[in-house]
Amino acid sequence: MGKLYVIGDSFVAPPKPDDPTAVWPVQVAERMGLELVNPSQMGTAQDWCWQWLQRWLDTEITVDDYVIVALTHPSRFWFLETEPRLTHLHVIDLERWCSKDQAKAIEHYIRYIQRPSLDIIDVNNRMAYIAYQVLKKGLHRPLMIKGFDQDVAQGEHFSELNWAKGNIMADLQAVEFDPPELDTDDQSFWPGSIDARYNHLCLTNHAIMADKVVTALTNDSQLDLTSGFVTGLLKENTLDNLEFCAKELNLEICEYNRKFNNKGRKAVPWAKRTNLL
Amino acid sequence: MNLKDRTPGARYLFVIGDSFSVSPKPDDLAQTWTRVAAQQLAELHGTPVMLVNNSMMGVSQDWMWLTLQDWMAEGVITDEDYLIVALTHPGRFWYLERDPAMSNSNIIDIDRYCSPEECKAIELFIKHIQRPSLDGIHLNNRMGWLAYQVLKNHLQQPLIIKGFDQLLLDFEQSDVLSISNGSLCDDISYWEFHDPEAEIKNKFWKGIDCRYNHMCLSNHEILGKQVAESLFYKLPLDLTSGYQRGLLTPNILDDTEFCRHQLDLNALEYRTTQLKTPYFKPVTPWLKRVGINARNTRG
Repeated sequence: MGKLYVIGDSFVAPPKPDDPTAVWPVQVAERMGLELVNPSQMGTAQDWCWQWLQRWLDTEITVDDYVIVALTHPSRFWFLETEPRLTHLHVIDLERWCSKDQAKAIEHYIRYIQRPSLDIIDVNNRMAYIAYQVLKKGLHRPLMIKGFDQDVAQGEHFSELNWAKGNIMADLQAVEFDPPELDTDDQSFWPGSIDARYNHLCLTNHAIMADKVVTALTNDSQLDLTSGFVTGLLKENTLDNLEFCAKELNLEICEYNRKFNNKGRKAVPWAKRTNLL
Repeated sequence: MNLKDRTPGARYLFVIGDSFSVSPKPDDLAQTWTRVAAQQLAELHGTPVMLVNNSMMGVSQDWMWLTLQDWMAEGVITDEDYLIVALTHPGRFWYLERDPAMSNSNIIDIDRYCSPEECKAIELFIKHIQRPSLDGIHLNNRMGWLAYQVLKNHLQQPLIIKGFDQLLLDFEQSDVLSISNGSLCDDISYWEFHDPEAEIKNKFWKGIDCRYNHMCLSNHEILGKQVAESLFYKLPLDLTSGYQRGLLTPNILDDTEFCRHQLDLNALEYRTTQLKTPYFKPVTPWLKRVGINARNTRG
C-alpha cells in the first residue's frame, strides 16, 4: 500500500484525533487507497515542513507514494525548536509561549535581519531540494499548493514540481465569505475570533478539493484553485443556522466562539504591541 | 568581467567561497591554489581555462548560494566548465544585506560595523534562535539546489571543498557532488603550525594571519594541483594527506626567505606595523564581551 505524505500548516493540519471529520487530505487518501501520513501543524514555517520532507525523501518515500506540500508563507521562521508554530508577526500571544529573551530575539530578528531577498534564497534551495529528489529517484511529482500568494522564484519553473494554480488563502477561503469584507485583519467573522472551518474551508469545499486533488495526483495534471469551488457560503447570519454549522464547520470551535463571544474583536497581536506592525 | 562575454574556445573555472579561496589583490600575482588549479586544468586540456573567483572574506553559505543562483539563472556556467565551492561553516548567517562579511560571532569587532540594534539582533539570534539542527536543514536544501542544477543542466560534477569540518548529511556520499575528504581548516591550515595549540590561543599570528587563504604557498601549489586532477580525472579530493606540516615554527617570521616564498608580504608588513603601534593590544572578541557561547559558529 502506497502512502500519501502531506505537510503544511493550518491549511492541511489534521483535526484532533477524536474528531472523525473527513477533511480533504483524508478523503484523497481514502479514494486513492493510500495510507495518510500528515503531521502538519498550525502556524508552521517552511523550514519545519522541510525537516519532514528531508526525512521522508531521504529514506522513506518510494515510487508508489504521493506527496502534497501546502506551502506556507516564506517569511515565517522556525524560531524555537520546541514551538514550531511561533513563526510570524501575527501570533497574538507569542510571549505566552516563550521567554522574554526569546521574544526579544524574535522581535530583533524581524526588525533588523529578516528580509525578502534572504527568504527567496531559501525558497529556491527548498524547492530544488525536492525537485532533485524527485528527479533522482523517479518519484511522482509532488503537488505543490500555495497556502498564501508568494513568489517561489526559480521553483516555479522546476518541471519536477506540480504547482497548483492560485492559492488557498485568496482563491478559496476568502471567497467563502459574502461579501469577503465580512472577515478582515481587524474584524473577524467569527464571534470568538477563531475560524471554525476545518483548514479554513467549509466542508462542501473540502469535498470539491478532494475531487480535484485526486484528479491532479492521478493524472499528474494541474490543480486549479481559482474555479469550481462554492463561493459565498458564509453570510452575515450564517452562524445562526445550526444545520449549516453542523454540516460545514467544526462544532467544537463554534461552541467555543459562542461561549467566548467578543463580537469578532481581534486581540491586539504581539507584533502590534511591540510596534512591529 | 562580463560573464556572458566568454572568451571563445576557453573553459571556465568558477570558484565561490570565503577566505579559504578569496583572490589576492589584482596586482598581487601570488600563485594561490585557485590560480594554480586553473593553470593546471589549462595544461591538462591544452586550451585556456579562465578563472572566475567571486569569493569574499567571511561570507556565509547563503551569500555564496545567491551568487550560485545568479550564475545559474544567467546561464553562465556551461557543461564544459568547472565549479568549486569552498564551503564555509553552516553556522554562519548573512545577517546584514549590506555587509556579507559580518556572518559570525568570531568577528572580533563586529560592533564597529553594525548599529547597536543590529548587534543586539545578531547577539540574540545566536543566543536564542540559531541551532545546528536548523543550520542542517538549510545545508541540505543548499546541496539539493546545487545537485539539481547539475542534473538538470548536465554540468560537470562540482567540487565541494570543505573550509571547515562539517557533515553534509544526505549529500556526504553523493554521486552528483564531489565532496572533499577532510577540510582546509582542520587538515591543512591547522597542521602548518609547529605548535597548533599555540595558534588556537592566538599566540602565533596575534589576530593577523599573513598566509594567503590561511595556507602557506607550498601547500597552495600542492592543493592547486590536486584540485585540478580531481576535476579533470573526476577523482576524489583528499585533504588529509600529502600536505606539508609544521612549517610555522616559533621564529619563522624572522626568516625573510621563508616569508618571501610562503606568505603575503603586504599582510606581513601591515601586521608588523600594527604590532609596533603603542596602542596595539589584542581586542577582546565581541562574542566574549556579550557573553555568547559560540556553540556552532566558526571562521
